[in-house]
Amino acid sequence: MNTVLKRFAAFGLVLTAFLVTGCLIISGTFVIVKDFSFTSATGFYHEHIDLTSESEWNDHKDAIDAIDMVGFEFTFINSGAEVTFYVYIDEGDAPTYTNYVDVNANATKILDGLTLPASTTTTLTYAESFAYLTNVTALKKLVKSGTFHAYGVSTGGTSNYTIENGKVIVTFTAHGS
Amino acid sequence: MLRLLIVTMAILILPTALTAQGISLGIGVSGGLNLPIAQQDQGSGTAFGVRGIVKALPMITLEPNVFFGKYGEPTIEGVNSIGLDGSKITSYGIDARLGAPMGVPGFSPYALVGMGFYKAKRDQTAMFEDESTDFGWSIGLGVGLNLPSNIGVDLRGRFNLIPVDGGSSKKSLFVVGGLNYYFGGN
Repeated sequence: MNTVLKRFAAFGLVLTAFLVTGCLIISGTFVIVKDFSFTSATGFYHEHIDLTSESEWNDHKDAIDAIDMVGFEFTFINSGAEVTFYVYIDEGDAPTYTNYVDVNANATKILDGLTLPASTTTTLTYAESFAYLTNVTALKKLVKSGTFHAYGVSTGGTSNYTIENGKVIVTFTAHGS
Repeated sequence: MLRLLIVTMAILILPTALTAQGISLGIGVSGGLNLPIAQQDQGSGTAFGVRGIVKALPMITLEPNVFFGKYGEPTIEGVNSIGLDGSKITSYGIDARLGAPMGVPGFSPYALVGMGFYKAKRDQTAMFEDESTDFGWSIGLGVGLNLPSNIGVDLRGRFNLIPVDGGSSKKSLFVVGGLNYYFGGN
């Protein structure tokens, strides 16, 4: 029995070493959900998204190693004709653009080609949003900065739709500080 | 390089095991839970593995192994409809088992220390993933019960730690039950 106890004591020391290195408990992968309301201007939506106001982000802001994933959730109520919806983002300290031409010229398209059928309510779920994402390298870089502008724009139809329940879901990995 | 090291170690140890007295080789299968630790983007899932069992020293057994794990859908507060599958994990490596010697009937606790390579894949978020395979470490505890008929069963918890760029890590715990068969006998 003494031999068994010695073995477990040795294993306990190894386990303690793991704990002391800080690898075991204090690093991890975290998810934050940021609700926002797109401000409508007839088919042109804007929101300045500030992740730094989220407690989870603040707890780890100096130790974020990577943005693992970014997804969205939207509910669209389209009372007009069919439109195609896009999301662009830009740096948090960049000017705020007020029209599609400026957004298209200066911001980065990160959600592409979501069709909103006429006279229909459409919900884009978190998992579904990944199928529409593009330019993910730029998306991760801008999100890692903590603040960014988000623009919702559309082409086609009469742009007579509203967006409810906007959410951006950010997954990041951080080490212990 | 590390993969080569693991394979080389296994090849060097095998002849010693084959010429040792008594039971020196076995195979095992195991299955159970795959529990994420500090990974809010994963839910609990399952793990299934197969392993070789090679006696290296009287109290140390080497287990080259392959595991296939799957996480479950995460629970994310504030998201109305998640619909996101957990990642699939494939790992291969080698564990050293300290205790629970092969072929000795009875009940015995043991400890594990291992290393291996881990590949994570989630089809829905493939655009965010690279194709890399990551090196990781594992430690664990278990209890085994060897029966006189060359059959053994065990229950183990294996903590897996995969360092990632920047100093953080991905962590999980396999809690699996196993069934082993040992070739030969005393």
